[in-house]
Amino acid sequence: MTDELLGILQTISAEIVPQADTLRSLDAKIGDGDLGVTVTRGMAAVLAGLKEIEGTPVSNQLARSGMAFNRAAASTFGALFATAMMRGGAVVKDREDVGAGDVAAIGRAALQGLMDRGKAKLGDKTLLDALAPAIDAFDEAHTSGKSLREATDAAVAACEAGTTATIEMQSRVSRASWLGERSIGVQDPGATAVLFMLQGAQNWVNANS
Amino acid sequence: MAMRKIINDPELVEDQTVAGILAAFPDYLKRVEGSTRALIRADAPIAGKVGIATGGGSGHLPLFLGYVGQGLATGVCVGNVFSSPSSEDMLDVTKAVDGGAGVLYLYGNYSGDTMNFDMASEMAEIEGIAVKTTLGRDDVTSAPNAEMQRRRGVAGIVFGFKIAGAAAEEGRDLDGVHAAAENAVFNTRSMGVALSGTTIPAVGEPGFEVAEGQMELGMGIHGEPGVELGPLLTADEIAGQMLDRILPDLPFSSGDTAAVLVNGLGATAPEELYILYNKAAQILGDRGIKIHRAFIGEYATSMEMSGASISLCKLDDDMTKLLDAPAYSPLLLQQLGR
Repeated sequence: MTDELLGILQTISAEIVPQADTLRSLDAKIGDGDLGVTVTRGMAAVLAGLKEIEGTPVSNQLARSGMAFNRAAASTFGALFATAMMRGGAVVKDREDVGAGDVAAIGRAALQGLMDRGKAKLGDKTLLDALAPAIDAFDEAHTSGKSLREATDAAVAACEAGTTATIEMQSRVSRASWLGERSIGVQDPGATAVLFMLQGAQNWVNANS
Repeated sequence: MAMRKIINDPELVEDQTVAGILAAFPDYLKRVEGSTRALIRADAPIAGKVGIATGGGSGHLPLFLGYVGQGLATGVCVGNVFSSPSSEDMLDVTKAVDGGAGVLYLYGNYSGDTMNFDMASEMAEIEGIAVKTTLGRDDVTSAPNAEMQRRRGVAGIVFGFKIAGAAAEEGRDLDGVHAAAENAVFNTRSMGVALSGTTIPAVGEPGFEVAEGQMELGMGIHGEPGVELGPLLTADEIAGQMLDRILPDLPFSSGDTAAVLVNGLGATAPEELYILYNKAAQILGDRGIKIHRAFIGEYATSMEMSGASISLCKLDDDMTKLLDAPAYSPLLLQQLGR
């Protein structure tokens, strides 16, 4: 895998940017309403930077894309996205042979980075609740010999279930926690953004396998 | 409904605001080279003195840009409307304001800001710059007193800029400036009321609304939920309800001396702020709390939001001296220095 990540980032952008208004309206209910703008500006910056990182190691592509996103659309989501991409990239630092077998390890390092940066844990009604089950599902499917496509489908299905589960959760961290019980009943916008991103990655896998 | 905003392009609101301020006050502010959103005092870095870096989302002028000036903060990083600045821009500001004595980060307690500033401070430390952080968290309605660490910062951070800025100007070291900032933050309490919502230009429709004839007590400056949505009360009733929550929270007691800030959120007339202050001053007098100074006007806004907040800062002798020290920023109408 050299420039395959660039294709994945393009399908992610194609999936999430048209959903900006969905994210904005969820975020307006329990956050500050800027998530739609954040993903639109952030992904535009990621796409604008792809040319520059062509042919470089995946670790560099991940880190540079994360930083480009946060520089253009700094925010809670931007900082978390940048942290996840940098920490995930560090696992495969400078390696040229990154492949499907590395996805779970990259995901787990990214997840740990998100926990460190956001000081949240599972069940707090955050994007962790969407991402953690997706990584577990991918890892399990891949380890048991399933194809990339099957593992990705399993990850997206788990991510979807995890995202839906945030509806009934009460927020325990940051801005949404100021709502207390009023945060119950709304699907977490960050988790929803992660779901759109994984669905975007799934589109790439479906088109290329 | 179309936005009633005098702008060119919603995507360029932040950059064109910064450009206008730089064009207006070239003697006071300059860009950090190579950055569009990192601004510092024209005379920064100031050798041997602690730099104070702040920042936050756009949409709150004169916060945060307006608190860069002599006797105030040294540099600022400007985010998109209601969004944090980036860690990279913050690192640029940090390096540009470091005069060799370290840098204090002073900003409001919002997750996007804390995450980005924490990333910046980690990077600054790698580059050998000592950084300490103080978070504004004066809004009494955002979390119970026992959970101070979750409270958000609103207009009361102005006292932090003034008091920490004077301590830095005086030549105190990083620990001393940090202590002054913490002292200011921990002795400040605020509460707001919103009568209308506000529209992020790039979104184009209100992120939240307050129905006509209603008010939300305790609403945050980005529309965060308050404690009570109800019919619009009189100024005297609003002042009373706010002080009923502010005074016991610290607490402020008879014999204390305090500075008072009555802040307009953007679309509330100055007249209304003085009507609020009139009642607040009377209540404080009745409770035996001495008002050292009053600040009335727009100090931390939320674009076209209509509403106001009251902030109280309990002063000791050192804080009083620092509050009264000279300070200047071209963005502030009523100067903070004396």
